[in-house]
Amino acid sequence: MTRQIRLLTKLSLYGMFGFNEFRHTKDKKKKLGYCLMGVLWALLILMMAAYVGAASYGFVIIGMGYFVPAVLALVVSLVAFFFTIAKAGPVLFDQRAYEKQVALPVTAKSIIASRFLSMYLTDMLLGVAVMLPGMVVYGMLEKPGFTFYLYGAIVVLFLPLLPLTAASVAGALIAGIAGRWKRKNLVSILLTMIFLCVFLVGSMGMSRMGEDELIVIMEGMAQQLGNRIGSAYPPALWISEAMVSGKAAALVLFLGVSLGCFLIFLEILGHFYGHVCGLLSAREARGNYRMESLRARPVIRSLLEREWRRYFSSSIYVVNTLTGEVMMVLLAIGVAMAGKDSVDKMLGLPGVAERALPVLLGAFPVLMPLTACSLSMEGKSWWMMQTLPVSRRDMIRSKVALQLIVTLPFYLASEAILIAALRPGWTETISLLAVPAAYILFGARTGIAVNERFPVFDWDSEIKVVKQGASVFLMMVIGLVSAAAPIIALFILWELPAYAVYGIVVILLLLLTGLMELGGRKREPCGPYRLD
Amino acid sequence: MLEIKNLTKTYKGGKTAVDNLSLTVRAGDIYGFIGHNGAGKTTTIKAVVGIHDFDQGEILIDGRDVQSQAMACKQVTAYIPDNPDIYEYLTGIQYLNFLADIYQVSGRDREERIRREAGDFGIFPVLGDLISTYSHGMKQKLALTGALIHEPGLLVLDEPFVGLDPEASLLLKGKMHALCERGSAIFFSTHVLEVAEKLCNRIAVISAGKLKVEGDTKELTRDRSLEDVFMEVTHHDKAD
Repeated sequence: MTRQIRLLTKLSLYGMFGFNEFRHTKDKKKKLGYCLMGVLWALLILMMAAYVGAASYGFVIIGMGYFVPAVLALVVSLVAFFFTIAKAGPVLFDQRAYEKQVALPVTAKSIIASRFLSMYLTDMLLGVAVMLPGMVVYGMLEKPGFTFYLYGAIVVLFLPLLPLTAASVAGALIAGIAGRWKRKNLVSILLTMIFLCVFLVGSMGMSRMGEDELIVIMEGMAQQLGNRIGSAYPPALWISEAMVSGKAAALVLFLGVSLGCFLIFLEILGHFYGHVCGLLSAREARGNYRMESLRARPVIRSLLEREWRRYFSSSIYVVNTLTGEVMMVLLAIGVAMAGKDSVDKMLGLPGVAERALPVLLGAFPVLMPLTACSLSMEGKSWWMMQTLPVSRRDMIRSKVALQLIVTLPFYLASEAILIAALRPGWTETISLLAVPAAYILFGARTGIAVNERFPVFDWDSEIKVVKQGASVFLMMVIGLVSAAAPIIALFILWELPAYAVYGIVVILLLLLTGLMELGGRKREPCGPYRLD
Repeated sequence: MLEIKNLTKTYKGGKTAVDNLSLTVRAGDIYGFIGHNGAGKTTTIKAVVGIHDFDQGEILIDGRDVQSQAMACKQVTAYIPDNPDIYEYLTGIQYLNFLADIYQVSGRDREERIRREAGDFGIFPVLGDLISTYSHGMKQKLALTGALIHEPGLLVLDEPFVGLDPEASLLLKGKMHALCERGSAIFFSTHVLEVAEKLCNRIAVISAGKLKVEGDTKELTRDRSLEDVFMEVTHHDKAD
């Protein structure tokens, strides 16, 4: 079984992050692209390491060094869970891959374990990137013994196991429930979004606790901080006990619970795996079509309708690209119910909601627009767009229009909530309406521009595009920069009225969007894209 | 209907897939494009339909340049690749309606053509089902129905008989003849030499990216089979 798992995992890793393509491609431009992405990732990891190092330093300085491993483990676990829940189901129950693998002499458990392992390895990288800088800082300041590093290394190896198992259980449950419905995708999308919302609200609550904890820390009440971490995620405390106090029993407890949960999950899922895969791949074919009157429609409408159907045919596509919109509404609800101060605490940025609420609101949909991967999602069907008499302009417009249609209800809902709750004046109302609108337009158009630059059509799993695509990653960086720049400006130029900065932001965003639109106005065909 | 003049296509790795290829497909022709695996057939076809860019030469469809007047060329062309990956998230009728919208076929014409073509291929009853439920052959039949929906002036097919059942193959041959009788042209690649010999009025043999022979099927074969001609031409090429 171990050999089967190793071989199957190796197979799935070949396709991950384009490693295999990078190794074997003769295309220098492609290689350069991968190198640039590598540099970008390295920079991001360095930035994260610096942040984690600084935070750990702070904890040690105020005498709370004991909790460094616990807090970092908690962060890694939450992030791993958040980023895995949406993909766990589609990865574990990837039907296309299942159909290929089930014909091989491998067990269902090997298939599950190999898929789990491929997700595990990416989450483990996150664990290393977060835990390592914290451990180094703690090690330099507190000079712990050898067990700290030994136990730390073991913890880093096993840290993602529990959150990943939890996310996989959720993914399996969603797949199992959705498989029984006629509209499997829709049910899967709804259930995953509900899970994510509950998780987001829960973790926001936890962040707010984190801010309160600062006060607790100031008051020297370490016990309370420990209690709070313990009640949120007990294994995080076991990690601190093992690493800092050198308690082997705590390490054994952490490993036992992590491995035990995973093995139980593997055993249970092994029994139902084939059945759930069968349910998910079952498609109803009636074979009783009767023609009704057919009407000609404008090309752009037909393209938009196709985009709509494509979008809602993939749960992983919807869940990943709609999270920003959901967060926008959650932010509005948070501000309306708890006030701007509470939101500041949740985000850990004092004064940000008061001074930069419209920017914050608009930034969420820009981080993960569906347009950032909508071209790549054409996949092996891309030949159709290349050979049909469809202009690039119309194709782009249909994709941007879908983004706007999908975002509109979330935009309206969050605006309505905020305006009703805050009862802002004229300038605030206009800012609240205009800034997010400009961000949404900018994000939609930039997403497709980035995806045109970095398209991927030869994928087997949608995850490769939606989760690992270079264009999605770049768009996230662009979104972060486009939001961070005005927020920094708002804080540096404190004397300047906020609406003046908002005005400049709106003009700049619309200008950039307009320029991109002008660049795509020529009525040229979609192909050829250089895929060779 | 289709003129390829001195087409040269070199891939990024430096491999020349098509080397100075010229051929002409006239209206009413069923033109067979024959060659070994990797001879350059699909590359040529992909350059004709706008998937691949090319380095040198010129391709004209109905007198229009495929590079400078691509949209006009595509409006009169239909293409089906060897493995048609069509939109699986649509139902058959949604797919056909989508194509009809793109080619701006009127409601009445599309109804009539869908009834006729899908009915002939035996897929009419499943048009309301998602394409993901179709078998490979059914997808191919749907792709063929879609390709005929705007009565193209030029139909380009890459290995069209692979995956079709004998009845559907026969039907497709009939459709190809009917389309050509209406003045359209068909340019297709195949490995099945018997089919090419019986079906095509003109044939071209490509080997290692170069056009080896081209012309009227009867003139090329005379008292020999197409298989003999093909072997002679390609063996001669290997001996070189």
